[in-house]
Amino acid sequence: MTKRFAELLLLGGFLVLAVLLYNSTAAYPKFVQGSTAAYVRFLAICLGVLCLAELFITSKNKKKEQDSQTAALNMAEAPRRFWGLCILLFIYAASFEFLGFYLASAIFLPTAMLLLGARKPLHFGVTTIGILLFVYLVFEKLLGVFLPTSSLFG
Amino acid sequence: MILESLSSLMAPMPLLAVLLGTVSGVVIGGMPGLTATMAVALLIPVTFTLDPLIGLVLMGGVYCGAMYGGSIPAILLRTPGTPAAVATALEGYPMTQQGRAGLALKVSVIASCVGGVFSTIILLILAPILAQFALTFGPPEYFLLAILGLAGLVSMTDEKTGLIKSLISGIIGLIIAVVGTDPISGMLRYTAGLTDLYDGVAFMPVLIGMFSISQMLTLTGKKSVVDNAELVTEIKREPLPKGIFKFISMGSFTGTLVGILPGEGATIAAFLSYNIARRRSKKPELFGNGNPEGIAAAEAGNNGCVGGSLVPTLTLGIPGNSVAAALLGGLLVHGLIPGPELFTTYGPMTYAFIFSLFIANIIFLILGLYMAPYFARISLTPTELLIPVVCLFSVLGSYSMNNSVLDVFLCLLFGVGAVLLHKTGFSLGALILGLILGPIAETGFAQALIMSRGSAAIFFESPQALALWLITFLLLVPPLLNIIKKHRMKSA
Amino acid sequence: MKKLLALLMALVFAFPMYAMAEYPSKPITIVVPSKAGGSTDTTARIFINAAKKYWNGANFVVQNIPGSGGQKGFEAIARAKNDGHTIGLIFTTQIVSHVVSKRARYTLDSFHVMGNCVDDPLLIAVPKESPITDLAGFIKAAKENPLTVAVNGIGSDDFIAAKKFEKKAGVEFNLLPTKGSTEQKALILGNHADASIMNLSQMQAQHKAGTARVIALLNKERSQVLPDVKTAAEQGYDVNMTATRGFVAPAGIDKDILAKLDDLLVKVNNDPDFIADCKKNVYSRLPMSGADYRTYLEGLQVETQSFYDKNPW
Repeated sequence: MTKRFAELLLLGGFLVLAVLLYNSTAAYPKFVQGSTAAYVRFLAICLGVLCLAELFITSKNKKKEQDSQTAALNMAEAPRRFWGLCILLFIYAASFEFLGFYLASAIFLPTAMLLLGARKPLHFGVTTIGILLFVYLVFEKLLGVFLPTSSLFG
Repeated sequence: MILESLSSLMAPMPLLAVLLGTVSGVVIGGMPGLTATMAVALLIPVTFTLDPLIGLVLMGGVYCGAMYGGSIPAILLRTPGTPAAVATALEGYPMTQQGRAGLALKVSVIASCVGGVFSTIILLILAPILAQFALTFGPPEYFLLAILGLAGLVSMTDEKTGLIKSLISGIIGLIIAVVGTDPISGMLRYTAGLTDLYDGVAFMPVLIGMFSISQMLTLTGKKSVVDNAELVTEIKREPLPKGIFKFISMGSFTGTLVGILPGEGATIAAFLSYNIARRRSKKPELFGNGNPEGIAAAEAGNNGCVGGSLVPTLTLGIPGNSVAAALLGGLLVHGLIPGPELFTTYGPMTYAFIFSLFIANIIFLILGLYMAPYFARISLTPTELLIPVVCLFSVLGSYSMNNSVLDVFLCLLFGVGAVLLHKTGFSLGALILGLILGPIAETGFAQALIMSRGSAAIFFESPQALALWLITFLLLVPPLLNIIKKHRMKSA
Repeated sequence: MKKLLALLMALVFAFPMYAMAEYPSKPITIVVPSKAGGSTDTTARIFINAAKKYWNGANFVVQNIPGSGGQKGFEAIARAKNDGHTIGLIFTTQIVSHVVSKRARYTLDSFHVMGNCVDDPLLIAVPKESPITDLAGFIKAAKENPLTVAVNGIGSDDFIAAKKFEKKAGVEFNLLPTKGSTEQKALILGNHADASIMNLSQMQAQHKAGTARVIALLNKERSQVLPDVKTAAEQGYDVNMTATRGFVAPAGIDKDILAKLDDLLVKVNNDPDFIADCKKNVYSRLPMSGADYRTYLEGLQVETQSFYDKNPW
């Protein structure tokens, strides 16, 4: 996917969003049609017009296409690590309520470190335990922040 | 009376309380997900039993410290500890990448201190007059204030992001802010039946996602935050840039002024003064690439809010934000009723509290200056350790704001989305600006129309409104002329 | 392998056994459906101060779950494990108005109502510049020209009070919904709105300081905090509205534990320290037993429903 294509895709998406948003305001209660509904309609129109303008300008510039425009969209310098971390983060978030904060973190931290190329066992241990201890003391004990507890046990 | 209050403050116990409050404030402000409100709320039951002055100065210290603390991770890791530190991250983090974290931290702590002290002086001298000024702001004026802030979208434009793209980003931010309960009819809009979205898309998780998570994802391809580690030692002792005080004073002024308006937050103050600095700078092209002037303005702006927000709290009993609200609770518990009496009958207590804010500012100044070189070393941590740890705190921070797992997913989605938007040339700063100002703009607009029973003339009636239009216009014209000029040069 | 399985089984069964140990076997969580530092939050914290005296060794922790006018917190209480280690605070009218507007994932039956603690009556305030000084003048002005009246969001206690008042007095207001008491105060003190309907604790300081004027208290009796303010009934309009803050537990808790909890609330309600703390915070106490409070809530729900049916939000 080239950068240009990604851009067009995004602009197209925003345009659809603008149309949907505009249409949705009809469902607002009658007495806000003049206030909040008008505000949302205004936003939708602005977004639509701006997207069209940007599309128009990019299509006009087509002839003098620059290298940067046709270059492939490079989301990450190290794709394996980038997407690996992404997936890991989503799994971490999803396991939050099931495993509880501490267990989920105790799994997430070393896995992420391994993925990113840490190899010294000492680093894994010290960082994981140190961070979790800090969270326990400062967040939970001192400030009484509630962290998700495991639904597995009791 | 002044002497009396000073002598009551200069005892070991109150001084210790200020110190303790400030230091814990800095720590709390520095952790995303911990807020000064949490700490102050914990202090409330404690203040029942304590001497009222001790309780108050503790809270004041936490407030001052937290406002500054947010800037430390913003500069070093692009992870704003408080929403008000976003503008600081925009300039501070690029400086860290260049190995100039030490200077960035120094500028931020000095600007914070000056902003804080300036606003406290204003609080001390002009509180009653300014409170009256704050009251003249009604819904139409708040709407125009949001418009004034949105005018900053134009200045978010640089070579990478064109004018139209930054405007689109801003509008996307405004649209995201529409999600939630309609402020006027109470109807639910675009919430997909999720209770967590009834109050709108939570601000802090989005912020953490767009700044922190996206940056950590990008960093996966690098060895450390700093591009060239050898640079760090070379420019360790960089002197303060010349003319920086102009921006600090500008920020202090803007921050105090915005802080006085009840309900307006430090985030808006920081962004407004950041944008003004961008307009007034002689080197605007450096903005977005690590300009200390931007840090100075933003930090002076958000710390200026501290004293500013206490003006309506102490004189009228209208708290400017949730920390001030908790402080107000602390005052009421001890029978101190906000109003003129607070400065006469209860004067010794009130003035002692105000003086303690000065001390708090000095404490974090010393702490910040002393610790800056040590903090700066965080930027040299290898990424394989740094990224997992920052990710953990980002996730934890977005969860603990509202105890919501949905917020964590939002944070991650916005993180990945931000990388995509950034790569395709959309401006993240503009999106955040839209997100911050959206609710104020919409509510102000709709409330004003209710007050005027549908007539738009209300936006042009008061002198304040006209002044706001004028400032917006003045801020808007030069960049627009600039863009047109550039465009002509290009096509010619 | 079999041994391992047996061990696992033993563990699984051992856990509930452990939980059966004498109540309370772990800290009791009090869910507060609003932000830290607010008045509901403070109520919970002063409750804990007093409750600790009666249950030796018991620990209480506050969990703030703000959002959506308390709905997130109310849902969390209803969802909580019914082992008696989670109780929560509720406040009116939001607890019933979410049910009425069909948004809540709970009903009143999701809770065991423990009882009420404190309340915060509503009042009508006008700017100090306003020519209106009493209800008669207020209604006269409202009949001439619809007055702009600021309320907290739609479905809040202020909103219902405004609707009740409209019905009783036969007037119609130009209602101005706001984001909360801060905005309402600024609107009144800055003379941007004609009047505001809000809670006593939010406006009493301003009335005393002379920066705003309270013209009527929507309560049966005058308040000790503002003894000079006449009630609405005294001025000929019998409209009463108050925001109560009481305790509930999730439904389905063991009877013995419930009896303990109810008893604790009664004790705290009569505790001298608790009464002193309430006085310091200018909270008016309104002790109600679980059964009474439940009846009150049901009545309030029917009333709110009637306003919703007429003009849904």
